[in-house]
Order: sequence, then structure tokens, then C-alpha cells
Amino acid sequence: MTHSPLALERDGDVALLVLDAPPRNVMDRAFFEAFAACVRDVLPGLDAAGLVVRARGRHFSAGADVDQLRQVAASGDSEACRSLRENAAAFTALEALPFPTVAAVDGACLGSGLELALACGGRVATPSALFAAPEASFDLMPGCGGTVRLPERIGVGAALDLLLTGRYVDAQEALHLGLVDVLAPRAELHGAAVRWVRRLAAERGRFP
Amino acid sequence: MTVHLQRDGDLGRLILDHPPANTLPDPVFVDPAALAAFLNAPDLRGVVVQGAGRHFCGGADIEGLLARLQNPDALGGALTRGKALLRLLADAPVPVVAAIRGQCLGAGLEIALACHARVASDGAMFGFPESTLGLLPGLGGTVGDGDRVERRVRADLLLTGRLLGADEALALGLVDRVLPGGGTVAAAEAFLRTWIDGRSPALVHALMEAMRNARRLPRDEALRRETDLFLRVAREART
Repeated sequence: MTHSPLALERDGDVALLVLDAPPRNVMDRAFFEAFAACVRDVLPGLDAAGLVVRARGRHFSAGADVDQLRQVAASGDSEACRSLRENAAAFTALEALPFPTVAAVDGACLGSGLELALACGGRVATPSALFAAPEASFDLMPGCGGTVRLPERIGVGAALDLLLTGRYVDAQEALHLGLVDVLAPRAELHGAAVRWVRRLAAERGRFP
Repeated sequence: MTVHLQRDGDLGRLILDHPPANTLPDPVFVDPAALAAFLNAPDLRGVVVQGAGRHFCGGADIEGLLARLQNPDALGGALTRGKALLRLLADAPVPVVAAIRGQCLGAGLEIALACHARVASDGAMFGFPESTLGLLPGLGGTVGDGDRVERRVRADLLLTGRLLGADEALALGLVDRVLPGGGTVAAAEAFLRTWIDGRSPALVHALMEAMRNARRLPRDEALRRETDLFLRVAREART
């Protein structure tokens, strides 16, 4: 049995969804299948005040496996296209969970990794986090909601700037742009993310 | 009011030309069909919107506007057609960047905010002074269209009519880049080049379409079409 790229853990009343393919946490086909199944079958039934999406290791996620993605898209077969739609639908299902979600980001948060963070209700990051939507550099574009969620967070101009140039945005700029809600040192990232998701839960009137 | 629609290689220029401050006597500041044809030229890769002379645009020509108030129905129709012009800019299939120096007020700021990005000189001035004249913006300035001006900032500018310098405009998200001194048009072009150089026209068109869908369509539909666009782009991409 291979190691699952995802783990579900707890910190008191807060559930933790952990990307568990360090160091880069590449979102390959196995990741997306595990993620879609978890969001569809497990997360909606959790008794939790909120969910923190975090990663094992130095990096949140280096994004999708570009070669795999390109092969799938180029094959054009309906099975492959359906799997891409399911990836995108899983991110949207994350938004529909009955409790708030927060991404805890350290290190690289790129491409589909950024799209996953954007599908969360909030984002907490360390000062060394780095964000980018580098798809255009590979002659690709986001396919999991990035073109919808990025302008929602940071406006059309800044979103186009990131999507077309593929440039890297450091944590300070991400905070200024509104891509990130709050910064916390690495040692305090988890605690800050848990506090943030509880705060979102309180705003929903569900907690305490 | 004269507006020039010019081609300069693969870029287009929309030049507001009504000296000294390029105020707009008519909300329909350019022929809608001409603007649509200009923006949809197949070999166009980006557009710079600029003012002739020292200013971008000082807003509506107040005397012209007051004269038009004699016929409110006609003015209402003109404002509706003016808003459609800004929508053509915002929905353009290629990026549109405003190059701003001097005054960028009222309708001028509405035009600038309809562009996808704004590059300003450090001497540029921004504001919605309409309320100080007992008026309010007529080209969508009270609503915004995908720009990142926060609601409380918009309310402050609309209600007080106060003017902002370029640095505050940058801090509040009204502009994307501020540079010292002149050369604003060249800087806006250089900024636009960082968006399109090295990118295939098909990819840029697909991203512009996805961003347009995000503003114009129900969210689920925009998300669905993004995956369609992704598949199209991925199949066309060089491998």
C-alpha cells in the first residue's frame, strides 16, 4: 500500500487536512483523487468547528504535476477531461463545507497549490511564504478556479499581473494585495491558522 | 472632444484629446462601433489609454453637462451608452492599461478604473469631485467593476470629493504602479509588455475571457468555463 498524499488530523475542535507528500507536495493524479474523495465523502460529515489545510514539510505545494496535466488534457479522452472537472469541483466543494476553512501556508504555494489556498475562506502565511500562478510560463492557465477566485481576492488588475507574468509574490506583498489575511512566524503558523479559523467560525455564529 | 484610436505596431492607443484637461463634453466619448472594431482587431495585443498633453482626463465638461441637463432623457441615454463604452474596455480581449499623469478626475477616473491596470506619474491627482458640485458620477463610479477599490474607500472618495495624490492612490489600490517624473506612456507600455511578451495571443485571449466570465457570469458557470478554457489552451500548447 502506497503512502497517502493526504492525512486528516485534529487539533481539538479543529480538523486538519494535511498535504503529506513532502517536500514539494506536488498535486498529481493520486493527490487529486484522494483530495476529491476526502472532500466529497469525509469532510462534510465531520463534527468540527473549522478546517485548517496545511502541509507537511517546508512547502505548502509546488502545484500540479504539469507533465501529467498536459498529457491528460492533450489525450482529449472524455475520461481524462472528467477527471479534470472533478479536480475543479473538489475545490468548489471545499467552499461549500458547513464550517470555515483556512490555509496555513509556508514556503512555496504555486499554481494549483495557490488555487487550493484561494478556495479556503482565509489564508495565514509565514514571512517566507512565496506565491505564484506560473501556469502561463508553461503555456497553460489555471484550471481549478484560479481565474475566478484570484480576482475576487485581489482585483482584476493584480490578478492579471500574477496570471500573465507568473511572477513570485513574497509574503509581505501577498498581505498588501489581500492574497493573505495575516502573517505569523513559522513556529506560530499552526496556532495562528487555528485561531483564524475559530474567528471565522465565530463570525458565522456557530462557535462558541 | 476628439478621441484618437491609433495603432502602433501590435499595440493600440486610445488618446483622449480635448485640451487642456481632456474633459468630456459628451459621455459617449468615442463611437461605440469604432471602439469595438478597434479592440477586436485580430492582430491587436494590448491597448494604452492616455490623455493628450499634461492631463489624463479632468472629468466631464461641466458646462456641457449642465446644458445637457435641459434634456434629462437624452442625457440618461448618453450616460447608458457611455457606460457601455467602459464595459467594452473592461471586456476587451486584450489587456488595457491606463497611462495617467496630471488630472484623473470624475469620468476620467471612471475610464481609468475600467482599464485592467493603471500606471501613474507621481504628480497625478485622483478623485471623484462630483459631490462638491452637487452631482454624482454617471459612468459607474459608484459601483466599480472588478477593481480593487474597497467599499469604504470608494464611499470616502465619493462623499468627500477629496483629491488623492499618486502615492495614496497606490496605497488604496486605485493604481498599480507609480513612477517619478515623465515617461508615463512609455512606462505603461513597458508594464503592458511584461504581460504579453512571450505569451501566445491564444493564451492571453483565454485568460482575458476567463476573467471576463468571472465578472459577468454566475460563479458556477464561470468556474465551469474556466475548465473548458484550460482544456483548449492545454491542447493548443506546445509540448
